[in-house]
Amino acid sequence: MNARIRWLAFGTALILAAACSRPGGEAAGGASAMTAVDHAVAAAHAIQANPAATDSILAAHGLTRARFDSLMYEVAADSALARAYTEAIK
Amino acid sequence: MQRFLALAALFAAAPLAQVGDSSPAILRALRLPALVTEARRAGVPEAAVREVLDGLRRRGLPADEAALVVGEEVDAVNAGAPKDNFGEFVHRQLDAGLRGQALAEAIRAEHRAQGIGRPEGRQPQGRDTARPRGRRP
Repeated sequence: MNARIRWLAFGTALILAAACSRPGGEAAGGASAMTAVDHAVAAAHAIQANPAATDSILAAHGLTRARFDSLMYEVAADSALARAYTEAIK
Repeated sequence: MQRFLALAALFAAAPLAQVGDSSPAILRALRLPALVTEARRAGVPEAAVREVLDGLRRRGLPADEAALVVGEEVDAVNAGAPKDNFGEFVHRQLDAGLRGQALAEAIRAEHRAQGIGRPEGRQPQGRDTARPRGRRP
């Protein structure tokens, strides 16, 4: 009986591990992609509203200059993200 | 009281101290996705767009310099340059070590030599990136 429970627990753990490590799942990828645009748009709006305070705005959004550059490249590289960003900052 | 006033003055001056030289570069960098969208809308093949972005990023160009480069290329395409050649000249200049304004100027000069692009003297900084220019779909 104990052995059966152990095997069941082992099987459940395997299934959970496989589910959690699924690479590039659509839901996970979509969620992170939307976060990138939201993040970029929020920072862009704040900077456009107060261009004199870019450094502190980047810091407030948790962005270093390198991370900000990376975010702009990331958004630009994906046509849907770039379009969404472009529309949002109009 | 004097100490309090001195501290208050210090805090009031703090935002001014944060006005760094990075502001114009950051504002330029904000335009990168819009300029790339403009290139796509102008009909530049997705593969060419990706290749240019990858090349610029791989060579460590900050996003504001990438925006300068892409802006020049988009202007050229809008002025009639072949869409399939998007970024070809840029890659050659990057390989030669050009960066920043020097790179943008080299691209502009190349386009002028081919009779493409904006008139001499017009600066890319003046463009309104909130509203993408060029042909509309």
